Amino acid sequence: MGSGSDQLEGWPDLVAPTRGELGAAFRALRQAGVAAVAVDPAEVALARQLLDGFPAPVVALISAPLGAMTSGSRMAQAELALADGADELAVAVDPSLVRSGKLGRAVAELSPLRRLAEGRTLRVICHLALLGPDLGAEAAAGAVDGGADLVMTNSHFDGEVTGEQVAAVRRRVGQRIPLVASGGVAATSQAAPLLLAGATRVAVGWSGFYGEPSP
Amino acid sequence: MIGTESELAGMIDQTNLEMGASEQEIADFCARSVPFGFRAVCLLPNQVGAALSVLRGTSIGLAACVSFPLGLDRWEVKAREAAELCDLGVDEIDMVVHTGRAREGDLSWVEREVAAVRRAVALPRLLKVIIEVPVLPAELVGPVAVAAEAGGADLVKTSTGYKRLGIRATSAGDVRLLRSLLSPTTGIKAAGGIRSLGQLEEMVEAGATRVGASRGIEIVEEWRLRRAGDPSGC
Repeated sequence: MGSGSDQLEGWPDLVAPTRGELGAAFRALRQAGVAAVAVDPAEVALARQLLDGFPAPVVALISAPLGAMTSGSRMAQAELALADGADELAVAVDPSLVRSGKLGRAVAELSPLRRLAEGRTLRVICHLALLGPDLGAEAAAGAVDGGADLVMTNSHFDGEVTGEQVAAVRRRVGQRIPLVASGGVAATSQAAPLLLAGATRVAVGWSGFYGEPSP
Repeated sequence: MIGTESELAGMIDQTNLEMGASEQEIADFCARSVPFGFRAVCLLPNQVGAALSVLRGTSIGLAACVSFPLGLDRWEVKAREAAELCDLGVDEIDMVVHTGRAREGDLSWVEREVAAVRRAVALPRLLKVIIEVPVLPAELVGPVAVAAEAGGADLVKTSTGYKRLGIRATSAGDVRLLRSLLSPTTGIKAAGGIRSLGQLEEMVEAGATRVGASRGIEIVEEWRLRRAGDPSGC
């Protein structure tokens, strides 16, 4: 099973990128024809400008990578990202609440974001690598019940996505919604097994679109 | 030169920035920290409630991070998060500058965002500004630190020290450089890879007024062992 560009998304993997570096990354993503471009919230306006005319949605990462923001600031971040031109929101669920046995509260925190993003795709990042496949899949199921349109396995700090994580989410939520395998994927060549395991798409670090990393 | 254990503990921000730590783990961490008399416990924003349930009524301050660890937020979001944390009862804010703009040398951006957070963090609450020295070009470390100070930082902090970023540890040279450029009234918090008493002393000798460490308890215990072996402290 191969992976076409319609099954790949661009995912930030640069530490402290300058606007020049972001420009280079976005050019590579545009050239690769990725299906979506995820960006940190401060860079949504720049991404919108530099990706003008490119059909892939700009996805603003909210409370990512740690899922540790306060509720008010998370909302402010989402509101500004939408005002800056984000097409979709990808919200990191609070992993501390989930690990504290408070999945219901973690899901309830998604409600205002669901209302805010009415008519747009709301993604929820479920920290599978951090929480483990079972608890992570529970978080994914909770997110779907809470109104998520799409599940992403990990933030860019959780650790590496595996086929086991993807399969665990699929077992728990079935085929109801799209599932993006995300977290630690550095090269497009890593995508195929994740798609085989049940992912709809794979999020690959921006650098992966400049060419395969050196061994 | 650190003279007493309370002086040592009073310089330490005992730190736990573990992603996904449970409320119980944070409460336990705070409870273990209380007897040591640290200056503050430094945590992620979502841990403030669990920490306050333990720290309220003690002499230990509570510090929370803003826009951690990347700093890639608009200034309005940083100010909002800081204000919300202050309302919850936090004593100190450790904010991260927009690391990308800092790397570009956009000093007016840095000063503006620090000033915005400063307005949300009224004295006597302290504002520490993390400039992430390890990712900055050497020639920009000084200018970015001075911009943070101009924006209203009470302390300039060397680094997030966040392992997942894969960046180098803070060095005594980083601290010396900041000390040579900043006003004597601006503090310096050294953070990132400081895991022993010897490393802490090196930072203090270089000019640090505060040290962030996840191993604060072990550092104080190291001090006690040294004192037990040599009560004169020499």
